[in-house]
Amino acid sequence: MNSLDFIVLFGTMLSIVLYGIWKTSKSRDLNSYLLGDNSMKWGTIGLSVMATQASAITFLSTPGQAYQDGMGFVQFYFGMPLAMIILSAVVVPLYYKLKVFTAYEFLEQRFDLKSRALTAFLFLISRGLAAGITIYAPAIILTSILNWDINITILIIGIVVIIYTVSGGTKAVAETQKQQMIVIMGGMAVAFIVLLTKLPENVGLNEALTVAGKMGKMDMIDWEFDMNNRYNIWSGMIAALFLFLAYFGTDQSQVQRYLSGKSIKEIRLGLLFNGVFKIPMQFSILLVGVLVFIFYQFTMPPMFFNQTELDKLENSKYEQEYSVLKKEHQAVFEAKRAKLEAFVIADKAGDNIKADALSQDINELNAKQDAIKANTVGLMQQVNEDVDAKDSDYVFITFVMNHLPHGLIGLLIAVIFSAAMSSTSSELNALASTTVIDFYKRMVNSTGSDSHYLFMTRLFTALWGVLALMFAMFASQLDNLIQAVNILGSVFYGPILGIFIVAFGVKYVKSNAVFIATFVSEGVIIWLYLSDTLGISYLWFNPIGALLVVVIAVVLQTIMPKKLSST
Amino acid sequence: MFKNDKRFHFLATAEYTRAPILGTWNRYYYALAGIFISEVILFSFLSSTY
Repeated sequence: MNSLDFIVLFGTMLSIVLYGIWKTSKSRDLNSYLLGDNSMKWGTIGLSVMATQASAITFLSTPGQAYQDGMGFVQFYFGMPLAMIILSAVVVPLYYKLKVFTAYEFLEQRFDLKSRALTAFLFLISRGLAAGITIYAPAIILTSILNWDINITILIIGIVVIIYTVSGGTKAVAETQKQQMIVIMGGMAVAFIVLLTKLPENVGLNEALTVAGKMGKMDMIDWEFDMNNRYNIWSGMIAALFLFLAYFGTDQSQVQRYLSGKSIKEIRLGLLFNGVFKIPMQFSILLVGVLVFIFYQFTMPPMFFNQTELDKLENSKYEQEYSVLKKEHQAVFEAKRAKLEAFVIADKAGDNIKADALSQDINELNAKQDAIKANTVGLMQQVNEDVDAKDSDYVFITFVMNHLPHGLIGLLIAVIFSAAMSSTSSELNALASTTVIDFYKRMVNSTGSDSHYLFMTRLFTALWGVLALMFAMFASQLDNLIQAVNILGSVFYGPILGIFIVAFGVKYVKSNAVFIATFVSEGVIIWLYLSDTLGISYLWFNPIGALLVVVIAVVLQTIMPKKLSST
Repeated sequence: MFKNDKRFHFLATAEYTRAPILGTWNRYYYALAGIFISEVILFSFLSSTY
């Protein structure tokens, strides 16, 4: 990165943040701070909801995922449109008319305090820890690529977010997210265009996609029902539907985004906007990844995209073995490139027999390249047994750093920072709201003035921010904890959604039945996860958990003694 | 005081909000469903073409 990149990076970030603070520093009461005076229009809501979900890791990992496995990941989002329709039709009117600050507040009105406290507590635990990872995950990658101290990256993201979220609350989050989404979409569009110009002269988009198709990267729809496979149309439309219902309907970091809407109509349009644009957005990001893959078919790729680990290998006692593998890698790459060039010519000339024969050769050479890479990883593991064999998260950022012109590198790094800040700000905002509304105001001090609660919300926003920063800074020493946090969401979401489904749809069930059902279902889901008995993908924990709560709650309500089941 | 209030039943949502759940919004929901189905068709087409 040179000075131009730094000017673009810090100029973009600072202008967004200062604009956000300037536009929203006049929050005078709690409603204004938590719900933005209910003044948001559908465009702002839609962008805010999208920006909250799209974290930095989305823009680092998704292109890498396409590079590795192709476009199949797009199916993961197939449940989104239906989830948006269900939430718009059923959930939005209730939340809006009841004038709740948090989703959990509704549960006390429908059931009782313990149901509200349980769900709010589960949210605070899972989202509180996840906020640290939202900052840590991109920081570790950026640090490795930019050679910055990891704590500097974490502090830059964290402190800036804390300042504007504490200052302006929900409105500041939404206003900055609007600008951040513009930077993100603009940056990805620029990357797409640059990639097209970097391909060889006779390889346009059509040829690039043809080559990608022959190498198995364009299989977007998998119709086979397989619960072990996360990415088929059934997982996307059924399991992910439940995940999205839970995330957008019961997770305060999302619910708060649309509760700030001006009217039910604006909220519904905002959610439908998300339903319309999410799949094309993910498709475009994956397409960028596929183009990076094609680019590296004609330009020598690194043997492993995590350069730090490769450098360690080069300076180890395995230097000789590595050097042999490097030569093999070079030879296979050149042979494959020659075949690819011949394939493009044959395909353009309509010589299908030759093209098919060449594509077979290309795939064989590709398999050889994969084997060389596996051997390289094996050597790296001899040097450092904890090395992460997966390098797909480093693919896109390596391309950006090595092949984009200066200025655009700064812009693309700004995309990553913007995405990290946009999701973190929503999380801090929601964590503080839940802490104050569902715990402090409800259980500790219910007689305070509005300005007192406003002060406490600001204080808790800062405290959650500091906690997230500390977690991110110590995360590198807590590998197992990071894994646990990533799983927490999947384990909790199903049963939490189940509570809300009962609340909305099964009038017959009262609070005790649903409360016990939640614990039983949670136990079953944790057992399913730990024992891995059925070997099902974590996505399916969402529908299983939700339906278990509903079924068990109904059964309990029916069989429990009247004394117990009446509340 | 809200406990067991019929407004918490989702089938009562329409009555409570004084607007049909699907009524006037039907066209938006159908439009989104239509867009989604078109996307799946497009992706299937792209998969089979390339």
